[in-house]
Amino acid sequence: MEKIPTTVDDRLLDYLDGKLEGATLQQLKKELENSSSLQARLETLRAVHRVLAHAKLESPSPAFVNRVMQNLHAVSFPSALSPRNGLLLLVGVMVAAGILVVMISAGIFDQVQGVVSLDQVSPVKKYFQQSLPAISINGKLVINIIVGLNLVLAFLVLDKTVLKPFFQRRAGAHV
Amino acid sequence: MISLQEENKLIDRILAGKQEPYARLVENYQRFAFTIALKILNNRPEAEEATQDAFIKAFHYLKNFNRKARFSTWLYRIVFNTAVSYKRKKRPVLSSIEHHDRADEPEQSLEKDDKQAFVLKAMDKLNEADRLAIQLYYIKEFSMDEVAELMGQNMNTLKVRIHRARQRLADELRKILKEEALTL
Repeated sequence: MEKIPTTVDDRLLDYLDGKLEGATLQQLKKELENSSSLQARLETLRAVHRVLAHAKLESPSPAFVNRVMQNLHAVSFPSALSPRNGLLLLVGVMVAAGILVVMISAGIFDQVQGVVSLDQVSPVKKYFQQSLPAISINGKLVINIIVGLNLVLAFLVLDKTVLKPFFQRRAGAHV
Repeated sequence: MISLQEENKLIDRILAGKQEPYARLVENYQRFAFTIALKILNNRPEAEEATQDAFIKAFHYLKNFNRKARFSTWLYRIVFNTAVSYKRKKRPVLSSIEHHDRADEPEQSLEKDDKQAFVLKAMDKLNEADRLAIQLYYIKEFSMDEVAELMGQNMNTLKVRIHRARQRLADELRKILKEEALTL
């Protein structure tokens, strides 16, 4: 049996889907009359088409809706962070904050001070003609802000992964 | 079926804290959702569990549903993802049992129609994505847009996938029929 080219296969599928019309349809019909291998291929594709066309929507068991409604609050939905990952993140944040606090108390950042002159920054220089003020940077202050942000993040993680699920469970147990 | 307007009203009421209107949405979409899960999992009890989970998830995440898309499209995507994660979690032993326990295929008709049995056998040769695409494509209640959306594919890719899957099925069917003829 001769091999059917993919383009012809495509036309046969379009024919089965009822997408062919006019001259294209007539042309295919003519080709079908003259080629037994094309007829055989159409029959195979038709067999596939017929079986698949029986596909229908399936129904779950009759009590399905009731079961869903009864279980709406039975399952607790974890946040994007699982309690385990949340605790790990919390420990990491606390360790980082702790290290920074120790370093601050040791006075490591006391000497970190500098002045950034905006006039030296080339993109700024390009757009501003007059001279700009210099900004002084205190290393200790910057680290203190970072520690503060870390503590806020730690609290949010603690709330989302430990406190909230805990109180929700407790509330659920009393209902 | 409920209208888009009615659906929006139901969603508003659910978001306002009422739970009962959700039953109406579940009732409306249960067959669609269950069919998607069943086509992915090939096991009715498991598909029902996955569908239930998906509806519960949808209820809890409803506040995240932006109404640019239809609720059905959003829900089907949740069902698809839930069923796929169920499939991944499934133990291999269970999977091999289920392979032979195709509860969604009526046995009687398999006996009646050999060709149907052969086509179903050929379906096993397709990869999962092709099989799901072709099965959902032939369920007239699902639009091509919905199938593309729930499978996370663009329309053209899906069309090509379905086209090629049908060709592959025909090739497999021909092979099976040839083998059957030789064994007679």
